[in-house]
Amino acid sequence: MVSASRGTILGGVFVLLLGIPLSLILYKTTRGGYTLDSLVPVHMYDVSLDMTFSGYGDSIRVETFLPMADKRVTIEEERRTSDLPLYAEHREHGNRLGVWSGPDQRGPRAIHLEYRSYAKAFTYRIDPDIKVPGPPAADNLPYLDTTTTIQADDPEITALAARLAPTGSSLVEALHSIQDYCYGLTGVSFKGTTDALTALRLGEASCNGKSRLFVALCRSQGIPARLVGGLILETGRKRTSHQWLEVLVGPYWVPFCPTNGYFASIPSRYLPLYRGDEVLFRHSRDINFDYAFTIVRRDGIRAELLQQGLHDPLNLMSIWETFRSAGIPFELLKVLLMIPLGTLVLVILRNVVGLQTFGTFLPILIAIAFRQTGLYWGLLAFMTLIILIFLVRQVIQPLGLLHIPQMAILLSFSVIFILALGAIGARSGFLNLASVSLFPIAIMAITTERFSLMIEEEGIRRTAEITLMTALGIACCYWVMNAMAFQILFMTFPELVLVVLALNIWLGRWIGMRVMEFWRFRHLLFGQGGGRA
Amino acid sequence: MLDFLRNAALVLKGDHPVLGINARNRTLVYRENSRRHYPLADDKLRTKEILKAAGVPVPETLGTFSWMHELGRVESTLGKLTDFVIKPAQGKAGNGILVIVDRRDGRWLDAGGNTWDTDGITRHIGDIIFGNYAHGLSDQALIEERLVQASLFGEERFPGLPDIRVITHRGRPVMAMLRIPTAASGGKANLHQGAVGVGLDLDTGMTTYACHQGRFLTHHPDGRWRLIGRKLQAWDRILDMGRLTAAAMPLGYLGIDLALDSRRGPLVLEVNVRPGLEIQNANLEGLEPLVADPVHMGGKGGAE
Repeated sequence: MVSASRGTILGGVFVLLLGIPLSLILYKTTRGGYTLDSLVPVHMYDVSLDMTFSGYGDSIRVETFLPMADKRVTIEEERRTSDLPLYAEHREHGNRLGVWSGPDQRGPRAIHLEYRSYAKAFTYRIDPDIKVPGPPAADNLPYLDTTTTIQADDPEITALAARLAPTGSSLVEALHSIQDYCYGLTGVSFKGTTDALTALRLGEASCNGKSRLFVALCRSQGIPARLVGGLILETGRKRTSHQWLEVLVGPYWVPFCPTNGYFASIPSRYLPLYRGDEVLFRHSRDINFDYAFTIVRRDGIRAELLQQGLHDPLNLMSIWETFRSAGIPFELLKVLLMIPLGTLVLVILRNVVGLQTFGTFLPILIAIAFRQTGLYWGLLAFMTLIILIFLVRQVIQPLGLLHIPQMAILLSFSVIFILALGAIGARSGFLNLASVSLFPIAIMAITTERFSLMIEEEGIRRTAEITLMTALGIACCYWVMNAMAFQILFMTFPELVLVVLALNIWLGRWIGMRVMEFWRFRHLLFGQGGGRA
Repeated sequence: MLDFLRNAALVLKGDHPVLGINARNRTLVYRENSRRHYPLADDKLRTKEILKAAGVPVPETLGTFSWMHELGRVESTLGKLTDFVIKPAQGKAGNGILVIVDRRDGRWLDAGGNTWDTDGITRHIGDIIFGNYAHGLSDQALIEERLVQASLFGEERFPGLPDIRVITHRGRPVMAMLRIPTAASGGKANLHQGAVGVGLDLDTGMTTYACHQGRFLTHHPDGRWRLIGRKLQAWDRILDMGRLTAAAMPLGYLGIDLALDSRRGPLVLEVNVRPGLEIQNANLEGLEPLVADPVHMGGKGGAE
């Protein structure tokens, strides 16, 4: 009777654990103003810019354009460090210009700038009734002027513009013709500034030449247009910036990229830094100036989502804001929140599938450590580490050392190995491999010890099997815990942790056969009945 | 083929006799064995005390080492012995067991033919006390008389020391098997490490099936010894000792390991609170119907 009532209580708890979060979620999505759109992850990019130069006793001035937030682009967590004492920010032709300077500079100097950016992709629809205005009467109108690099009044350009975008024709058609023409030019990699006329005459150009020709063709037919300079965000380290352009249609600046073929649209990874025919860096002469952008993609939910409905008591997400204000990084919270899900994965792998692993929850910790290295480098390092421990162990076994000193020796070898691997990675530019050295020492220690004990107790063959199963377990934990869908779901609805509890209660009472037992007892289960020989 | 499909359909419905680990843990180990009594089974010294008091024959204890400072008396305790066994009191799966068979010129010879001096033996005992074989917890080293393999069926002698596993449920033997070491198992009677599991008919002590690493065979992999259709010696005494042991321990689901010694007959080596499930393959028979709890089968929990 005791266990029958215990079963009833458990059943009630189970229903509550499932019911509370599900009804909260239902309420929030139907009444609480949560839109499912907010669940879609965004690609965020951590951009850092390193500028280096040397002073020879004179004053130094370095200028570059800084990103600006607008309807499309969000810029967060901007930080600057600099060896130069002075910093000022100016507005220049609507751009945001950062100016670093200092007198009497001698020796190597550096400026570091970083920010997190995320942007939406935009596509514009241009009203087909808008007509091409035709050549402007006066060339002093803004965004219609002719310059030494955008030769809008050059006869070759005006002739081509009149053919591609006849006066009075549909603007959208004309822009298509201009885009097709510029896109059709042979593309070349960046070789310095190319003016519009040169691009036209050579029939080839890099992004800046194509964009200048596009702008020149527009301006020559009275269509206001301007260059845009910025970055294409993609993980990696680079020096190349990108140029595209914008055409003023009614009150809107509509983006075009004749290099990569974006017509009246802009992808989310285009980050504008300045408008107009500018250069990205301006600096004092003869200072050996160099720079590089380092960009890392991160996927996550929008910051504005974390801010919405802060005062709604049902909005558990407001706790993220609380942690944020206390300076606890969001990434750490995400890791913590995914741990229950990781445990559920392991419960399923062990109790339903029948996998065996080192330590019950060790695969979760290792999977978390692999966030630094990525799964493949991480697994490679893990397996190599295991093999190394095995080899060292075989070598020192005949010495008959006591257990704990032997563990200490194995662990020291592991550290040396991990450091060596990291150094090789750093030297050869494999940053993922280099980050293997961040492999937490506590996890390494536990792995080393479990593995050696297991060889002792289960033998080499069985240990090898369990090692492979552990690797599989790590991979499963990694996939689930790093799956965008689960992360977003759990960040948005932290109450889902209760569902994990409910599933664990259910699995805790489940006494079915493990998948691997069907194989183990296949003769008994599927054989010719129980008759004896 | 038809048989296979019919069986597969039954299996999918959950209607099969095999006991899985989940079911063993929840319906047998947790229900029948109270965790506070585990140490009685996990610690061989305590097990032997209980069994001796109940009149169950166990291997003679020749000495124990519990602390590092006792290592100084290894020579004085063991010097006069020519054969003995060193065991970790809380070891698992036969790990850490050292079988000494002879003494020559002040050195000992183990069953594998290696020689050991006093330092080597002292270090091994130190490892045991340090907990190398007991998951890092400190342990005791146990010195026991060496058992000499009695003939199981007839004349043949198997490598290592075969043992007999009897599963008891609420005091009643429900299944048994013989575990015979092989060269691959390094002389250990451990199925995972390569020993052969041989099913035993409970009523007659006749061997039924032999299973080695998931394959069924009729003869021992290291020789031409026939393994099935043989009658095990002293079967009735073995079963009685299983019953006596189960009655002496406050644990309702046990795996009792016995060995047949040529001088003393069957002896209980140790008991396990979580006996493995491979015995089902060795007998080609499922445990589930044999341990079914009539109350439990009715659908609701146990009647404790």
